[in-house]
Amino acid sequence: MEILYSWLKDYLAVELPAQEAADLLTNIGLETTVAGAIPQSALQYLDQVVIGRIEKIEKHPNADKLTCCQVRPAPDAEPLPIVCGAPNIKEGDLVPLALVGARLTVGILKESMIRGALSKGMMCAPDELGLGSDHSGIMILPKDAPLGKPFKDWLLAKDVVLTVEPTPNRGDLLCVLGVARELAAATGTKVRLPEIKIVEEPNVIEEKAEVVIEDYTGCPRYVARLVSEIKIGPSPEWMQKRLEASGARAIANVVDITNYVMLELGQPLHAFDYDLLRKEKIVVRRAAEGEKFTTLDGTERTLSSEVLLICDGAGPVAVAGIMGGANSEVKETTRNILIESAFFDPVTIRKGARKLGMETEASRRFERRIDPLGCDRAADRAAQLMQELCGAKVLKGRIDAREKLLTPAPILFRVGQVPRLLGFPVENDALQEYFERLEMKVVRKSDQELAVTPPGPRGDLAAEIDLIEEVARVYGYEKNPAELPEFQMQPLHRSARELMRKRCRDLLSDLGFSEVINLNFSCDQDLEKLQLEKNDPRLQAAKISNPLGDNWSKMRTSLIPGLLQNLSFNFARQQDQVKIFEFNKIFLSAEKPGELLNEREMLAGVLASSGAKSLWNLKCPAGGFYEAKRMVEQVLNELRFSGARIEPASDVPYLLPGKTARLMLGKDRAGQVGEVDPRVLKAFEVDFPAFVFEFDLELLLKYERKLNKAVLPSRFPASYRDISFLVDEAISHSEVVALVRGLRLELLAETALFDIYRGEKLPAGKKSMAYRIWYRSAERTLTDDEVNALHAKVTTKLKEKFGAEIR
Amino acid sequence: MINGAINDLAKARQELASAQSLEQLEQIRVSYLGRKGLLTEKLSSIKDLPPEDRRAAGQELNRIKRELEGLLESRQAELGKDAEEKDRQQKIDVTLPGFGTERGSRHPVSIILEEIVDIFEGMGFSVEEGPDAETDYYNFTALNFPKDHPARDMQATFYLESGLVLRTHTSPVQIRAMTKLKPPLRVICPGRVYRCDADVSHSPMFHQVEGFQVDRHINFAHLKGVLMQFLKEFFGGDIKIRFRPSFFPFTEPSAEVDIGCLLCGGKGCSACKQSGWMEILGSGMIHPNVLKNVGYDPEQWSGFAFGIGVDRLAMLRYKIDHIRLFYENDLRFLKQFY
Ligand SMILES: [Zn+2]
Repeated sequence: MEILYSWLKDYLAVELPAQEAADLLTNIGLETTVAGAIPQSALQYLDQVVIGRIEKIEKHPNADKLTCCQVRPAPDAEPLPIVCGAPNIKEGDLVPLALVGARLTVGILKESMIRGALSKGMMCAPDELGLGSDHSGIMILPKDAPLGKPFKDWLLAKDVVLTVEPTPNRGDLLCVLGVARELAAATGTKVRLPEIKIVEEPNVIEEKAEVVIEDYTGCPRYVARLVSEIKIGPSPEWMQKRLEASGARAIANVVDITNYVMLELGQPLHAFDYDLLRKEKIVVRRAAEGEKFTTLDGTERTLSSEVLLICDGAGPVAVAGIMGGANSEVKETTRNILIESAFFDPVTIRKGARKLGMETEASRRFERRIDPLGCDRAADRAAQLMQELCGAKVLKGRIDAREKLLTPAPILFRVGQVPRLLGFPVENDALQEYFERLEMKVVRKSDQELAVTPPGPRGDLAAEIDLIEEVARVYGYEKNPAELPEFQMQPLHRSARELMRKRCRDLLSDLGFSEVINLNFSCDQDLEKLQLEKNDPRLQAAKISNPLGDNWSKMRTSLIPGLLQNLSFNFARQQDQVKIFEFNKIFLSAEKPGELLNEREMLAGVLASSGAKSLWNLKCPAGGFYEAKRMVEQVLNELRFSGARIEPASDVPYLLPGKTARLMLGKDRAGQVGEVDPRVLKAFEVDFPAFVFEFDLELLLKYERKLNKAVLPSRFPASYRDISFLVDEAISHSEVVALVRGLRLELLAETALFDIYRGEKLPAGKKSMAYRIWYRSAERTLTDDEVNALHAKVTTKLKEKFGAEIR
Repeated sequence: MINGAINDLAKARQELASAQSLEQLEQIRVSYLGRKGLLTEKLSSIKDLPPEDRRAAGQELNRIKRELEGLLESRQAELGKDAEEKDRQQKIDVTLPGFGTERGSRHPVSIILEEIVDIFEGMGFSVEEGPDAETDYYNFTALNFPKDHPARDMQATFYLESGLVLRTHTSPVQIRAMTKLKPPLRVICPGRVYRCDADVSHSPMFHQVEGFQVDRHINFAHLKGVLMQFLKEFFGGDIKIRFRPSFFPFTEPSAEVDIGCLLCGGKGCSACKQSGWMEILGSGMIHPNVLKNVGYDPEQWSGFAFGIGVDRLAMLRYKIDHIRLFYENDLRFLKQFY
């Protein structure tokens, strides 16, 4: 909410510069900024700067871009010659004129010759005065700026607009008086309430109108006043200025007055054209389901029972607390007015406004709860202004319909709670003073207990803890001491998940991968690109009811689309090598309806290269697979999953079936690695082979990791035998290793592959594999004969099982 | 034969003297002492001599062989020294770039997140995590957000069609942790959070660290003490810190914490809207209703809680003015962070 500072000052008993008022408000909990306030740092530059008037502008004899001006520094002084380069000045303009000796941001001003012309001062742009960074031209001051007066005084006295941002619990701060109350509490002064004086007519309102509340829950109180013989016209200029500064367009006096009183006191009012009410009464009731009504913005609205209506005995004339109706609107011809000043229930108004999709200045205030005790005063205030400004006659008395007044109840306040919760004691006298500054009533029940009654506008104060906060606010958060708590030491519970993430992050980034974070949103098109089967659970992505865009309409069920998008994004930016990984959750359907989603944290990575700067052999794209697989091995190794198995698989829809492996932990599949199907890559606009790996962190966390027992190195040398053989292409490395291991040779140490050869010299469908097989004993050096005997077993078995042809 | 051998030795002596490299030396060795070397051949033909001459010839030939070996060795030592010296004087271009795999990088937000977690772990806080897609109860109701109250508008919420909400803060983990564990407690809850918001400083998904401490004697002074300690460790000891009243439904008294603007040093600039201060985190004493909601007696236990916007701290630390940079994953940007 914006407030003209001069308006706020009407209610203050203390003189404060605007910036200081804003700081006080901010420090007591109402965030306040000042538009056009003078930065503290500028004050040092503003001495010896006066308001001057440009009397004459002539061309500089020696420079095209300069002018020679005559600027008068005071009404009775001679003009000073001043050379100026700014293009925005004209004769008659009032400007900030720095006199010789003035200190500006550009230095101390001296008399000088500029290209042969004398200059005895300077007209200033904002930046030269320390007022921001604007250097586009000289500051041109309004016509009413006083010639010859110190510029600083004029600047400090100039009216400014405060912007206050009350928190949603403080509806009472959505008005000028509420802000004044906070400022009064902050300064220990009293607010000056507007004086309300009305000359009433002898005839009483009750003869002319009646108010019937059918729903006391929705409308606990309804105050009405009647004014007659009003003259509709524009409101006075001072009122228009205040309204416009607060963002309310000035329309005509009656409407302006209702807005003005709302901004001043916080009570939304409504003015009905009394002569348009079909019966002389007001009925407050719920709308019927499907009832239709046209609000004064011309929109026909379909209502429901959640909406509260103001009716005139024949039908609706306003949506209570939200907007009036077109059928009873005040117009130029209006003569008599019924002023509504009601308290509507916050929840009722909020539900109704939501239902209708409307938010108005009135509904905003009712939702945040207005002062239930202030309805009568606001009605009087409006009547007074209509009398003073529109020549209206005010009928005697007001109708005040209600079941019972919503008077705030006293709150029991235990003095001991202050040191317990704030960490320092406050004397009872001081406590009482703080509460009274906030217009609360205090009754001392004992040394230990106070009964504190909050004022009407403070609907947010209902419990002792609310009062504790009030004490802290008024005492000052800044003054509140600070100390580190003492506590009983406990074992630090370290999160296994966090540790696992940390190790993998550090490892992968050390190995050349960059961590990315994608938004956890996705869409159907992304998933379609993955070629998933119809029944794939990843297609059942949770849908967002209010997404920020179509491509963010669902929760992610796979990290892969995001990573492939990152790939394409970076290739498009000339990155020829992309190695990225991401830790993030995927969101699969709940196991049972109504439960939380099956959120699984995944670690996934992509690597691809578009250029020659590749670290693996691009001519053999399969090289990328082994680099990706190496990452999987490194991660498993880092996390000490020694029992993990990486096996051939062909069931990942977005990976090439012959170039995919799955990662198995026990019976669980904990991830996969493979080359991305080029058709998928094409859908993501990637033209180069790409390889991915994925881990399901939930499964990694489920499996216990083994810290292997340390093995002592043998004191005796190992011996090896190399073997090279021809086998069918279908025989895999892991089968060879398994076969050797299957022999259960006690002295076998290691089976290491060192070459695979395929070529024209070999028979079709065959490959040559070469292994170095190590043998070792912990007790002695093996003899050649022993090693030969062992190795013969390996050779025999290879021939027998795989039909290997030893070379 | 012996004479031949003596000639060989003399010839070898000359050759050795003129040999300039270890390779030449090796050739010489092979030509005399190799498998088919001159001396080797002579030694092996001893067996063709009459038996009575063999012994003397053998002794003489072996003496010559030893002498030659000695000569070879000493020449080898000489040449070796030269070669070693030459190697030692060899020059390479040390300004060429280092060789090997380039390192990767850590996401700036995850670096800052880890740093925050480390500082609090150092103060004895443990990590707890929770689901991103929450129930209304944990995200709002248990945190004392009344139904149909404008406080619910403070955080623009994403709703799932199933009725769940994407958590708008990591505070629901506070409820889950307090329900699961027994006080006294010191817990931090890092995680991703979501708000229906996107502009220069707002991303619809971002990161938060919620933290809280519950014990028998915790008060507002402790809240200030712990957060000041954190901010000093994170930003450095000379940072200016301001606490001012605010409102969060789940804390009371509530406090917004500002630090002196890092760009202008408090003089006022566009980044701090001329105020000289920057909002850093929200905090407060845990509301008694929240304690009651998890079954803690607010007369026995009290606590403070705070929520730190990780992305915002990362933006300040790295002087980044657009949050978009964190989530478009441009490697040219990301590779700077590790
Ligand atoms: Zn600043």
